[in-house]
Amino acid sequence: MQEHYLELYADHLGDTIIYKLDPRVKLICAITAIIAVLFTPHWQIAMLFLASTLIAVAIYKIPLRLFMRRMLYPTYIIAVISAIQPFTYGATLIYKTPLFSLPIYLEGLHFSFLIFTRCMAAIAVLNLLVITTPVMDIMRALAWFRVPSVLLDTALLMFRYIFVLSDEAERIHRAQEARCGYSQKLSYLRRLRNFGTLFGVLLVRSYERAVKVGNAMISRGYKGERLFVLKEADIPLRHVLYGVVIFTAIILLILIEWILL
Amino acid sequence: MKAIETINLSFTYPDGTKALENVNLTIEKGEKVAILGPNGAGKSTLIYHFNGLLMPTSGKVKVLGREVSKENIDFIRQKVGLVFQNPDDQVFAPTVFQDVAFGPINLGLPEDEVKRRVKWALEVMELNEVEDKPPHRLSHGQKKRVAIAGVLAMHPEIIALDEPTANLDPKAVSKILELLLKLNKELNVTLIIATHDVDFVPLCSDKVCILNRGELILEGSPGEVFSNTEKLRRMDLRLPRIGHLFEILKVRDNLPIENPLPLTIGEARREIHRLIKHKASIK
Repeated sequence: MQEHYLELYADHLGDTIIYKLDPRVKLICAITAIIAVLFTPHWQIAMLFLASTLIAVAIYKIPLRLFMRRMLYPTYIIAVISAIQPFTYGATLIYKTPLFSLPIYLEGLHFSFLIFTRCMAAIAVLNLLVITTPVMDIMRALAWFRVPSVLLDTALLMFRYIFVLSDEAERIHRAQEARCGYSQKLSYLRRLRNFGTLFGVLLVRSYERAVKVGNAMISRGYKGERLFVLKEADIPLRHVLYGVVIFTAIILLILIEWILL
Repeated sequence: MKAIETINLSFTYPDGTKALENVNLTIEKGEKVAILGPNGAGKSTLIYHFNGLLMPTSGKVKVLGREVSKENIDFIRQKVGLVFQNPDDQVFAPTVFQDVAFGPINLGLPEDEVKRRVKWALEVMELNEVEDKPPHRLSHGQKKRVAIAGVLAMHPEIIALDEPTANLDPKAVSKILELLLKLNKELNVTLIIATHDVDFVPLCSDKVCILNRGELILEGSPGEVFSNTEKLRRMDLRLPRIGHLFEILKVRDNLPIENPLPLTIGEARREIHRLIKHKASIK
């Protein structure tokens, strides 16, 4: 079967420790790192996290293409948000654009760079976690940390049906294309409208499918309790140790940042 | 013993569409019954009643002698497994194992019993190798088998399947057929197969019910039902290809084909052998 671009499963699990590390340890370390990075006032610290992630990618031979491709979409959003910042915030005017005479502020520029590096670092850490951990392992780890089962059930259902939905969208798109729905002869607005129809149809079909899935569940005796039972074995002591080391390293880094910078 | 009995069953959808009208049907335990009809005949509506997903507007449905009602719905759903047409509508869990475990967990079974049943159901459906895979990695035929394993793990006495051959390639169809026949023969599971795949019907069933516009038109063995050629064609159905061929040989070429018309390759082979011997004896 064709490799799906949405594929989240870390299927080709390597032998290295980054794959084998207990998912709970990975989860705690990743969340600590993300929180640290999102609250740091220094872009250098964020860059440090980003660089460490990339080094991990290199050392543990994680497919770089896959890693970068997954960084791409969030980068678009972050880029847009960061790009607005220099115009909206600050006091020191450094430049006025010739067109529309928009002001650019120094503080805004700094802030923009900070947000960009922070978000990129956070996403890189999350990306590393997801690439090296199968979804089921992450879910089991979350369940172990007492994340409400409603959230996990919903996430797992989403994970299951996002593939079905994306196939459905592709089929509808192909059907539209086959009848010139996106022909260059059509006006941009017309094409946009066809694209809108695609989403409308998708929405209606999702609803219909939800009803069908619900019926199928009821017919197997479902009465509304939690869907998936996620259980986890004990964490190997060695892994706890690794976890403590990484966790302490991150905390130390934050403390040094507070004291020195 | 009667597996399923409907008495004057009628069903009207909330929008006013009359889907079933006065259906009186009896299915004995251990039978393989095909419910054949054109699109929109009410096949799915009918089998949804067997599992209590739909409740009759009027009339009764009895499963293993008990009338389907809100009070005994758990019993009914354990006894009657429903396999939906599109496995993506049914197989919802992130892994095959979890999906098959869903039913047994809902029955409130202890953990090791759930595990035992899942392993068993996967083994019967020949799916052990894909146990930990996510459903989107499976072929359509495999997903269909997962859907069947998911109801099988609840140990039903009756399994009703909606269009089990839809969208399957020939190999997957023969696999499903082989497994269904195994379920019926070895585990004595009553099979109810709603389909419009005419060629599949003589292979998978020993009784055929023809449904058209919500009414039960014909009922009997495949041989009996498919001898009503005119009636079938009026309902946008046809004979199985092999039956059609022998009908032409009989009517146009005046070959002495014996009633009822052969409908499967096996029956056709026997009939041809008989014809050859018959000719030799005349000479």
